[in-house]
Parts: sequence; structure tokens; C-alpha cells
Amino acid sequence: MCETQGEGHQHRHLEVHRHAMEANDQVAARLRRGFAARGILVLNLISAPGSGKTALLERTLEQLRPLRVSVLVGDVETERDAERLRRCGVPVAQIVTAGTCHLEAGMVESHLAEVDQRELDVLIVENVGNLVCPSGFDLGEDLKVVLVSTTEGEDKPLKYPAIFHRAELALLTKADLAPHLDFDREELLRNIQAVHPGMKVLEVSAKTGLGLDLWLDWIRAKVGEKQSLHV
Amino acid sequence: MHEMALAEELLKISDEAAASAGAEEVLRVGVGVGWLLQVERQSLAFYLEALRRDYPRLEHAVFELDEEAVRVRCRVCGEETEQAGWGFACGACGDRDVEVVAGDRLEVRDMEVRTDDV
Ligand SMILES: Nc1nc2c(ncn2[C@@H]2O[C@H](COP(=O)(O)OP(=O)(O)OP(=O)(O)O)[C@@H](O)[C@H]2O)c(=O)[nH]1
Ligand SMILES: [Mg+2]
Ligand SMILES: [Zn+2]
Ligand SMILES: [Zn+2]
Ligand SMILES: [Zn+2]
Repeated sequence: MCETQGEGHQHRHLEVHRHAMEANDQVAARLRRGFAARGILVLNLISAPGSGKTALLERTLEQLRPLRVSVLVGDVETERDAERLRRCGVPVAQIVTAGTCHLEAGMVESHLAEVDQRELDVLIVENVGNLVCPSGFDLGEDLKVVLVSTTEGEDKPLKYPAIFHRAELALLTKADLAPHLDFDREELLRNIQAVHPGMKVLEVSAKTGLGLDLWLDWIRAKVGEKQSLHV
Repeated sequence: MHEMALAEELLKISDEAAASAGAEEVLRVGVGVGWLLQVERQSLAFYLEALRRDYPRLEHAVFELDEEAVRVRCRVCGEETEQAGWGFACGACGDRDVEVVAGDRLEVRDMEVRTDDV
């Protein structure tokens, strides 16, 4: 408290109630309204670096036809992931964040025109490899999908609970490697359920193709749900 | 979480609120730190200290970082209950069909400011 209160100045109490994400959330809400108006399903793929986001998309994008799919891929540096994904014959834009370790709604908004097709069914966003901050930044997506690979350790859901709480689906990637590791599948599933009871989990391998049909079916079902809301 | 970016947003919001109230100086900022965000409070305090030199009104402000527990509203029985950890469920009926209604934000709640008399 200041001694001189009342002598030439006064103290005031201000109610503010504004939150740190509001600037991002406003852009995200605008994006979400635009996607809803056109019946576009938007997925936000989040994982630690190298869990296999790009490899999974490389193996599955072509098979989503006749659905019209576009991809936005975020990386701190390089266009490498976009170059890999363009070979699948779908529109892909690379978002180079230049140091920022997550995507923000404004980045999606400013790159959207590069991949927007007149008719678009699914927009897949591959976030920057990071299990921490991307979970807090709404990109206007319908659903978050978290990927965790068999090589990362069973305790990941307990160490990074926020993303497991927020995601709709967990993909257990690199399932082909499990026999070569001391991987305790049951423990990982238990840890996921502890953070997010009832969470849907699919086991996949981009190498052998295991489980990919279930992942594709899941996407198709979500597209169906989204389009049925769009009249 | 991204404590540096969050600190920057808190400073920007506090400074804007002070400016629009015509305040000369901010004395105290009450911040609610939602448990769900998993923000490292020490790290947030560090960045608030480091970045506030760009905001002269905030030079002497005390930032009170107050942890806010997660609260959920049950879609089955309608009760609102506080949560002690992950795996949210209604504290009244136990159902898992709940919606988070508090504890998922980092918020500038209120401030004490000094305004010069006119
Ligand atoms: N054995 C095996 N290796 C895989 C599988 N999926 C990905 N990999 C390998 O894991 C490494 C990383 O895969 P990426 O697809 O680049 O991972 P990412 O998540 O896109 O990585 P960032 O974008 O850098 O975060 C590559 O060497 C892949 O070949 C899989 O199902 N099985
Ligand atoms: Mg990648
Ligand atoms: Zn005073
Ligand atoms: Zn970040
Ligand atoms: Zn209940």
C-alpha cells in the first residue's frame, strides 16, 4: 500500500477476467465457424517428435479417396515433411514456425488458402512434434489425435496428461517394433485410461500396415458425423 | 506449457486493462492459474519478471499467482464438483460424462491500480 493515498492520486480495484489464450481462441473460433459452415472435418495430430505422424499420413492419405483431403504440417524448420506428403497427391502446405514449438490458430489461418480446395472434406493438421504446448492451442479443429509410439515408454500419459485428456483418440504407433522392445502394452493402456477413462485407442504400424484400416474407418466415420450436421 | 508466451500475454492484458482505466501504475495483479494447464508457476513468475521491463506501468506490480482447481459439471446429475486429479468424474454421482467449467484457464482476474487525481 502506498502512503500517499488520497494525496493527489487514488487506488482503484479493477475486475479484468481476461485469459491468456483469448487472442488465439478468437481466431480459432472464427476458423471453426468457417469449417462448420462448409462441413469440413478438421483433425489436429499431436505427438512427441518422431512418433510417426508423417509416416502414418504417408501410408493413409491416398486411401482416403474419394474424400478430398488437405494437410497443413507444422515444423520448427524445413519443408521436408511437406515434401514427403505431397507425393501422396494431396494439397499440402508447410508451416515453418521458426522456433515456436507449437502451432497457433493464426498460423493455420494464414496458410489455409494454400491448401483450401473448393470442395474439401477433411483437413489434417500435423502439429509440431511436442507433447506439451500444442495441447493448449486451439486451432479450430474438431478433434485432437495423440500419437504415442511403442519406443517412448509406458509412462507418457502420466507425464503429459493434458494432451491425453484433451485428445479424442490415441494412436499407439510403431506397433511392429513392440516384439523387439520391453514394451508393456497393458501398462500403457492402463495409464491412458487413468488420465482419460474410456479413451479410444488404436494400434497401428506405418511399416507393416497393421491397424491402418481401423484408423481410416475412424476418419470416415467422423467425416460422416460432421457432414450430417451440415445441412 | 509455453510459459514465456503466456507471461507475455498476461503482461499485455494487464497493461491494456490499466491503460483503459487511465491508471498510472499497477500495484497488484491477481492471476488464476488453472490446474489443467500444467503451467510451471516458478517459470511463469520468472518470465513475468524478465519481460515486464517493456511495460513501464507494471514495473512495481506484484503478480499473485493463484492455483485454480479443476471443476466439472456433470451432464447426468447437473452437480458441479472439484477434481483432485486426472480421470475426471462427477463427485456426486460418479459419472464420467462431465464438462470442465473451471481450472482450464490462465486468467488475469483483477488488479489494484493507482490513478492520478484530475
Ligand atoms: N518401425 C517403424 N518405424 C516407424 C513407423 N512410423 C514411423 N517410423 C519411423 O520413425 C521415424 C519418425 O517418423 P516420422 O513420421 O517422421 O515422425 P513425425 O512424428 O512426423 O516426426 P516430427 O514431424 O519430426 O515430429 C522415421 O524414421 C520413421 O521411419 C512404424 O510404424 N514402424
Ligand atoms: Mg512429421
Ligand atoms: Zn498510492
Ligand atoms: Zn510451444
Ligand atoms: Zn453427476
